[in-house]
Amino acid sequence: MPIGKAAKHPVSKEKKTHSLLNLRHQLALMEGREQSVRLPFGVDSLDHALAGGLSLGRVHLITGNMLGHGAVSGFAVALIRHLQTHFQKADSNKPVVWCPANQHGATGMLYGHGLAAAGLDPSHILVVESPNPARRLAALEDIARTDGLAAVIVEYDGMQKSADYWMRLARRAQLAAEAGNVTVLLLGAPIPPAGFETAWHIAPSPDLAACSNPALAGRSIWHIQLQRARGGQPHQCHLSWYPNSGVFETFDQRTQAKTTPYEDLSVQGRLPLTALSGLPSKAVA
Amino acid sequence: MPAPYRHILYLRFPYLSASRIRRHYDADSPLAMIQQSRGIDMVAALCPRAMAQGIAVGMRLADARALCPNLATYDFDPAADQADLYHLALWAQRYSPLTAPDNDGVVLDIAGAEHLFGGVRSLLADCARRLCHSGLKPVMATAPNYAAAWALAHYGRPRQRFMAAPKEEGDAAMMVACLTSRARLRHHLAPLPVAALRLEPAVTAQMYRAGLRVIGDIIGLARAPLTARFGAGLLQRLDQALGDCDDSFSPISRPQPLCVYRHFAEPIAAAEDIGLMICHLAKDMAALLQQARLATRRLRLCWQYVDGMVFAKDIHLSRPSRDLALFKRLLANMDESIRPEFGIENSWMQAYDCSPLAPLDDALPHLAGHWDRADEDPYAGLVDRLVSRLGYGAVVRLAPRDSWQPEAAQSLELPDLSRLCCDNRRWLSTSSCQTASPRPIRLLAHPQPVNATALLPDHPPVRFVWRRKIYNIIHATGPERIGPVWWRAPKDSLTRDYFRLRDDHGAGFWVYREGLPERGERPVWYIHGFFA
Repeated sequence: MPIGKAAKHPVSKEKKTHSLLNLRHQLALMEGREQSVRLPFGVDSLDHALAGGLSLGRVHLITGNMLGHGAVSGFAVALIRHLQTHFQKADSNKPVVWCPANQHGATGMLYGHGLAAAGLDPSHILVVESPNPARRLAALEDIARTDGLAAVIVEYDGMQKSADYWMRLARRAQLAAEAGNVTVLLLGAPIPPAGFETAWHIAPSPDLAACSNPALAGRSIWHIQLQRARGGQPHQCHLSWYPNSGVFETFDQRTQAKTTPYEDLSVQGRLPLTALSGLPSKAVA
Repeated sequence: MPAPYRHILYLRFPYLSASRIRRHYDADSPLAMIQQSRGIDMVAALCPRAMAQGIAVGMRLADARALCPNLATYDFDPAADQADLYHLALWAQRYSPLTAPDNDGVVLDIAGAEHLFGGVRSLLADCARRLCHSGLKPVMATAPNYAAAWALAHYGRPRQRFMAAPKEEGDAAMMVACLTSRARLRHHLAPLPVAALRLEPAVTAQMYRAGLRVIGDIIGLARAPLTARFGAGLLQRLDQALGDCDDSFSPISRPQPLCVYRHFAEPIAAAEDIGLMICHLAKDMAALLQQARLATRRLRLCWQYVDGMVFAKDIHLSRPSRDLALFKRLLANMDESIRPEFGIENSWMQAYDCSPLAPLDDALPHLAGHWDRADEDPYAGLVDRLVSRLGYGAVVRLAPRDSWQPEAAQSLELPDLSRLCCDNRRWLSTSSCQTASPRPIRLLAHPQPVNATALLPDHPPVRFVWRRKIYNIIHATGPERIGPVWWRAPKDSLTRDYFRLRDDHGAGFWVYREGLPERGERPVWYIHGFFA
């Protein structure tokens, strides 16, 4: 439709959204997205941003700094636990293949006792040991074509490649994942998110309530940036996860900070408050 | 009748049992192997350090303990020694095709093989260096026949030391003699005691009574009276040692794998033909295994081109099998990786690591599928496919171990599917005791030192620096005290206090302090893991 003509006869808003929805639907049909199963997180705002939930049998990118903290691995573990529960409901106990970074590096190796505590049975994880990230990515397509897997997780460390390389990788991995009906998670430093089904950036988030309440000590809180979601929209939130129940929840940083009494932040009641100089200014204020 | 030219190298391993113990346990004290004989504990084997303390083989344990109070004792295991010697004899085939394990050493016939290593001296030096590197301290002797080499290795006085490294005084191989011709054999054997002739103990004792103590005493004597008094065995042994009559040992050979062949009248190059070739080989191999009642864990497919070049490819199985369908599935994409070039003339398939498997298929057909088919267990098929794609050893599983040391509480093991069924409970049962306090999801293989600041010596840190980055701690739980394995760890290992820390950005760390301030040890902080 020519621009001039549109200005003369403004289309009503309702009609516009309708035609947009129609177009989206047609695109989804072309991409075969309609068939894919979506696994909801149980968090309304996030599920809405993801257009129903995490789509299975796709390639998802989870980025973040893997050297300084375990948030990226933790989020991946939470996702896999969520997937496993989904498959267990369907009575199929599928294994997971995890290709971690070099176990002698600063990211560390997967630790079974910690995984077991996070509700993930380590005996269902096959670990592929290869110190070279390029070889791990080369094997990804092979692994993803193997049917009978719940998920494949590949860590690519901080491999420097062009945007074009990642785009091609995403496409090839996507085709393989569709062939094997396997959900693929790529973990590593931030890379161009084009071509991936969803792209996340995960960072840890301070949990001030847990300092005073030991019952909350087990939960993890992440600051989640959904940078890209096919069929959905970008989103940003603080998400908390309880390893005992495997439940996700949104977490409002400000209300939590306000309700937390300042005095309760001391470490086991032994540490003087001068030690808290490193608190984020937002939380203290 | 003079014996044909031989050149025997005898490697005696006096400390074989002790070196095996040292490999398995990191023991620091002198070692002795104990054997019970008529209700008394006797020393059966020793390590060099125990030997230096004055302990000898055949001593009572009580006497040995009086000489050396910190003596560590283990059970003498002759079967394990024999198994070690067998493997050493197989290893020694790198020097000569004729090797055999003896009762406390290995015999090699290196005649005609010396020049391959640049002469007998450099062959011996190479052999000594390799053996010393693996902690075995051999006594070596070469002679033109087996009996003389045996006598020299057991009773000869060491003349020369081959060092593994110039500085290490302890790890040296002892060289007794290097005799290449019979000319000086008499001279070298004459001072050895008569026991060096491998006589029966009764005969040796008889000779001692008669005043015949060394071999030199009997060399010149008249043969008839000697035979009349001590039997024919003595002179036969003497002749064998001096090379006047033949003496032999039976060399062992490496167990050969099962093998099936396909030879082609015309070289084949078409893709379908190659696929068919693999198919036929797999079928033959499955039939052969079925007939031999064996199951294999590794198949090797070899093919030879018209120009004589041989190529091979290995297929690893996650558990012993002889299932044709499984073989075919694993070999399915193999024909793509074989380039036909100018044609393939020969092909063969070998089966390694075979283990007996009852012929279930014949007796109980309804049970056969349960054992032999990977379809029943999707996990097994998956592991096989992954291993065949990624290479053997690349696919592992996390296995729990009963240990409170965090780094020792987990091991990586190859996915062995025969034990899978009991596996699911293993993690959950051990982790119930292990995860009484939280464990991180990622653990550093080697704890890394951090620069931590604690307000009081036994407090958790308020700030630490790791990889030139400052982490300010707002919350800490702990300590969880984990002591070293005192019965096995080295003496200077310290107790650790683990803390679970959260920094102001919310990242969770597992940090420990090594050394207790209240004991006056200087504490050092390490980071060991990350929480989700």
